[in-house]
Amino acid sequence: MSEAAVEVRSLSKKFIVRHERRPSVKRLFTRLLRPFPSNVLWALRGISLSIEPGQAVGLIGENGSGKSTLLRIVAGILRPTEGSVHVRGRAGGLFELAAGFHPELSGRDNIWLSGALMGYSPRQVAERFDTIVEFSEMADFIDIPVKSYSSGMALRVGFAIAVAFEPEVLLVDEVLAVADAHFQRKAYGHLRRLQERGTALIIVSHETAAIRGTCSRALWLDHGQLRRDGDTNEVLDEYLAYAERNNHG
Amino acid sequence: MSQDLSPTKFSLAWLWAVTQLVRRDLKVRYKNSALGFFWSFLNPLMQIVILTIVFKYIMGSTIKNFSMELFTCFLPWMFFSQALNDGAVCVAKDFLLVRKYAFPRIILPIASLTSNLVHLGLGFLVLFAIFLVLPVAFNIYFLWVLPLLAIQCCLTLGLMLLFATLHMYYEDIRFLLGSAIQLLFFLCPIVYTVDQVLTSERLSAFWKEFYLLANPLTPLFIGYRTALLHGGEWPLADYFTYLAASIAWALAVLCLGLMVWRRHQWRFPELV
Ligand SMILES: Nc1ncnc2c1ncn2[C@@H]1O[C@H](COP(=O)(O)OP(=O)(O)OP(=O)(O)O)[C@@H](O)[C@H]1O
Ligand SMILES: [Mg+2]
Repeated sequence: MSEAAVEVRSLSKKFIVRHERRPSVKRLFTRLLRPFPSNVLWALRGISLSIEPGQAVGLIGENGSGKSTLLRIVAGILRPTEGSVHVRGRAGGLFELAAGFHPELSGRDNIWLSGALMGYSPRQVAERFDTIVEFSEMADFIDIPVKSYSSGMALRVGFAIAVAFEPEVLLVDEVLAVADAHFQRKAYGHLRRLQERGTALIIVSHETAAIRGTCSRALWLDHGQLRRDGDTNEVLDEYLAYAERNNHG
Repeated sequence: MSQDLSPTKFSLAWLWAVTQLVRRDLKVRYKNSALGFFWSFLNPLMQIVILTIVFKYIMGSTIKNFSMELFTCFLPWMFFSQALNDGAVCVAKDFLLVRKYAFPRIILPIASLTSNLVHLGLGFLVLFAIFLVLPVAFNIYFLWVLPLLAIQCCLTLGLMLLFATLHMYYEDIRFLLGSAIQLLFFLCPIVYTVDQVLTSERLSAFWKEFYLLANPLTPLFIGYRTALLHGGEWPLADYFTYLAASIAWALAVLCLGLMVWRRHQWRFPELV
């Protein structure tokens, strides 16, 4: 038995890339006559890693290198094509922008809905409701429709929901960029506190300073492969040097 | 304890999430106002009025009590067509939620069906209010509506699962579905009665049999009408044979829908 919070073994993920033109019923019939080309894209290839409880890991890599895909597989939203992922406890988090709120509903209704869809009981949501509102500092706006929130305001609520239930594995995908300086500090501070209490963290960010400040370990994904896994400063320096070299041709 | 979280595993604990989705649907549908239901009911009411004028006063339909005969079938018809239209887009509409959380995907069509069921319930309240005014005596045969509705729900859910999956691959299936639903309206005994079909001299015995057996909605609509307006005097001697066919259809469609859904549910968040 491993004690790891996240155990990923030779994970690969294949996507079938759909073409520019939306598939349609008409295509369905022409396809029978003339099969249309579909591209296969390996978004992740042979990834193996393990993350201990209480460890904070920064995930870096170029756009399209597979970071979000990896997080979604750990969260159980996507299924691996090959290999396996084991999570001890629950994995939850924030993916890209805090989208997924219903614009017509109030912040309050959206908190209840999100809690329910994350699989928590009414009691669990009720217990944490005040904490969520307080943490997001959105008490004055909680009863108005989310469509009138700014993106930072929506993010605050989304972040507060994600951390309130304290999942064993917390995934944060590039969301804090739209938060103001005050909330960013507060959010990263909170992530560090959760980590000290034993939460395993995976943070995706293109802001290297934030990763340096929070994570002791970094993973560098390059075209779906794990290029480096090690000490944050070493991996980041190497990654930045590589980006620099790319810029100069 | 929080429950097991997987896109494929449904358990009864998820019914709470279903109620949250239903609440959301109804709030959006009724625009957060108590009058919202009446506004949303205005359109079908207008349709009933128009169909009554056209069929009764212009075309001279001989059906007695035409508007009530129409109303009793129009409610479950609205439920069927609206649930199917909503159901076809239920995953696409909540695509962002599907990409964000790992809840069992099947709660989306279940919630879609349920909110339409609530809407139907309110519609029946309107019908009963009209019964009070007319007055029509309430009787034990009204209870027949419940098993008939259960059959209709199985059938509808099965079709919703099929079309929601298809829609993720072929977006324009919606237009095809819309036209098919309109056609189906006239293939069901809603603006006419089953007697008119069975006594028609133009249709051979084969087609009459086909009419009753091939469309699982037909026995259901006959049932609603008979239960609510005719005190359970079934218009056909062997009505229950046809009802059995309807049940068989409903279960077959539901099984097929579940099979297709199980095969494809993992792919939903990938189909951008
Ligand atoms: N649903 C999908 N269907 C087809 N291809 C996909 C799908 N999702 C992602 N991809 C492809 O997989 C690769 C990895 O995408 P992913 O979103 O994981 O990148 P990322 O590292 O998060 O990038 P970014 O830094 O821009 O957020 C990309 O090439 C992308 O085009
Ligand atoms: Mg990404």
